[in-house]
Amino acid sequence: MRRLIRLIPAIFLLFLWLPGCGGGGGGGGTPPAPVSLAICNSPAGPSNTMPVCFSGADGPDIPYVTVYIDGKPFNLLLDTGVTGILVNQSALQAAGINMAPNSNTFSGSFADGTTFSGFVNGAQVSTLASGGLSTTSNFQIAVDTGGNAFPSSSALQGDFGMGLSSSVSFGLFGGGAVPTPSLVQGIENGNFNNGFLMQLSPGLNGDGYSYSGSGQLIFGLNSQPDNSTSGFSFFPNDPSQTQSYPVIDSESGGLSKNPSGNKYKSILDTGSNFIFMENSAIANAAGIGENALASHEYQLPSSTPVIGSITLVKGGLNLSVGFYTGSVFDSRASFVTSPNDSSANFEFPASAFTGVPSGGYILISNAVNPQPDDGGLELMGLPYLLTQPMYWQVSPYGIGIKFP
Amino acid sequence: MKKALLILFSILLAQICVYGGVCGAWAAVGDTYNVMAQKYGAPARVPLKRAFAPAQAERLWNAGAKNYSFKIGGFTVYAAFNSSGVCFRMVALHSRTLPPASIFVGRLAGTRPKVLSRIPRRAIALQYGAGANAVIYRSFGLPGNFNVEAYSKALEP
Repeated sequence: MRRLIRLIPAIFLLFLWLPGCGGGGGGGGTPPAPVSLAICNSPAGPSNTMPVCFSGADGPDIPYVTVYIDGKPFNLLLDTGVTGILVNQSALQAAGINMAPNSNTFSGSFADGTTFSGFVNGAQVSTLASGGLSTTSNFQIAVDTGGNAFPSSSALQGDFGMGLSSSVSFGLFGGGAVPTPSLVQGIENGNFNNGFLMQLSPGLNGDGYSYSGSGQLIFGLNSQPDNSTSGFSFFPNDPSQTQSYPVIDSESGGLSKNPSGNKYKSILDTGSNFIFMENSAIANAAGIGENALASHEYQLPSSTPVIGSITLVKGGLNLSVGFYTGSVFDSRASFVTSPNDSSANFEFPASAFTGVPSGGYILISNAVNPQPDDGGLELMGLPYLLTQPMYWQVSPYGIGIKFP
Repeated sequence: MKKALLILFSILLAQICVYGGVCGAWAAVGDTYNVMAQKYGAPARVPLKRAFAPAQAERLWNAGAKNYSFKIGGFTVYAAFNSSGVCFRMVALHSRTLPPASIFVGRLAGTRPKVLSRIPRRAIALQYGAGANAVIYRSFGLPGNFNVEAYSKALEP
């Protein structure tokens, strides 16, 4: 018994240590040094424009903007998938901006399990170093103190959430407790607070099928010659929804063509360089049966108006997929799927990133099959948005697309 | 001293329960319908197409699979059972907050998962366990609208 008693401290310590076995994995050592991005400048343009740059620092061709907070520049992910401005506290402190914590807190997570948490405080936000648009009063930005979605080692110092809706209840810091209108709703002068245009121009990479791009945000709608909405196909928001990101509802016509009814939502998401679609939509676009897609028994399709090619490329599939606005076929994009695997869905290992050229995109199906009857959703990330020169407008009342 | 021993073994037991998952605290992929019903209450029977693509739902229907919805940790979770009454897939659709892996993978939650894929901020696929016992957890979506599933390929009809 005494021997057992002598072992108590050791046993106790052992079990205190055990919980650490299951998680973590970050390893020891010093954290990686922060990667810096160039300030996103552009040639002088109208004061209501803001340049969009692309970087490979956090995945292939991630769009970012340089936002000026209290006069200091911060490179933030241009993200229409969320609402509000999130900035890493350490980045703010490094720039000499020390905001006192308060009780106006927030917390949440992204789908990959990374988190954001902290407090909300006011700051002046400007779109350019000088001569741009600025918020008329202190704009509420979210100071990320405890999250890991944008770690201090990341080139991106936070999230520039440009999701927009008449409701912000599904915003990045949702819940209704924190007022987080998107930037355009807080920007100076009523001429620029009713929406924005995004112009994205693709540049085809040397591999022949992947894209990088450039672009700009143009604030305001129909208030200046450069933000006219003439010629846009307009899709009103579904009034029954409270999405805070740009959504083309299936009632207006989804973007991909689903053979089973089209009742799902296409979210235009600049925060992802992937496209997520239903298996059935991919199979339809590819001109093959869903079961064939699931079993990877691919074959060159017979002639269809939608599919251009389906061939094995670097272990994955080169799919050419058509997109519709309403019932009108308006664009086609090529994607590279994940390297082959034995699963019904496109799961791929991290090494998949080495299987495609730098800047190449990977298309995968939805992680969870969205059901048409359940208002399934699909994300149209940059591969779609960069298929060709494109304007799209976002307003609290809906979104529009225009191909010049 | 006996009191100290009693406290110590209580702590050990709690640790084993939490990290070993052997105290009946879990009901997840790999558990039977009875276990899950006991844990989460009588479920509602729902069509397979609520959690599967139409073609897949038809195939599973023909294989004798059944689908129920449970309320687990504030989430509505669809659980599909094979013809032996064992759960092979769980799905949570349109969850406002991200359902944690622990409610899907059960006793494997304390193990270190293998990252199968990760798309920054939008999706992740994790594998808990290995071989026939492997459970895949996948999440997808935007803040405020998450879809999550967990499944065992070995148990699928």
